[in-house]
Amino acid sequence: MSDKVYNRLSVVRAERNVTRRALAEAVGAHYQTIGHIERGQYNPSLDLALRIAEFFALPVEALFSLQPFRPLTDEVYGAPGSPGSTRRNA
Amino acid sequence: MDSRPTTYDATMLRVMNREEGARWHATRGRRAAWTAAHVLLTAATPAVFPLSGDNGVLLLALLVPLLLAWCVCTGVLNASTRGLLELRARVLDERQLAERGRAHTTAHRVQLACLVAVLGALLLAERLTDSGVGTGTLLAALFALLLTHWLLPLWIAVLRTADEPEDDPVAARAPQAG
Repeated sequence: MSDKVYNRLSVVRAERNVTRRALAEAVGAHYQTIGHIERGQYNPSLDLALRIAEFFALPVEALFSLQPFRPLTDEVYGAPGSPGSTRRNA
Repeated sequence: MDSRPTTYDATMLRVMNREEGARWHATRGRRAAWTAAHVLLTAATPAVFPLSGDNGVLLLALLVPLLLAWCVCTGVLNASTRGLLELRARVLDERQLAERGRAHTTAHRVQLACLVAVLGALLLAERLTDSGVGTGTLLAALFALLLTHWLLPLWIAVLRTADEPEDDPVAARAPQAG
């Protein structure tokens, strides 16, 4: 069984303009722990993952996954060349 | 049990997370060097007692600077772990508690090896020498084991500590954000 948990925490944090320290304080963790999670060096407990998801008002699966995340642009506009893609050719 | 942080906890948490001396222990190499210095100072400090003999002035002249250096070094080591072994469990998060557990487990194993090595050395000395192992040697060995038992978890925690996460782009963009 893979012990790797993928996350898009840094992307969401940057998008919402939340610092590591602010997030850490809100969820009751150390700011280094947030950094370790973002770097994939630490897998948060379900409790911490849920608290982080609650802070961003997102479902936990939007932030954490056992499979690598697709790029956000692919999810919004579809992968280049895919039938449902709404991307415009350059 | 009341698990709310006390004023003491909050103060210690703030002290252990001060950023002023962060670059002193920013890299793995620097942390290893501080740990090596701490091991040397820990060994040197009790060694001044037999070295100075009955000379009280010499004892003080050697002991005071060594103790001061040892205290500074211990502070740097504690700061590099962000108080992993110094803070109470109620102010540590789940990763820190797990890391503290790993440091204690590793220290326990290393300490066991130290105990076996010292016991073997003492038994060997007992067999090889005519007069046997003296009380002074036994006391010195016990004191050395006591010091390693006390400080090994700190040394191991420092050596296991990962570098700080890279600079936070959000904080750099808007320091007041959050």
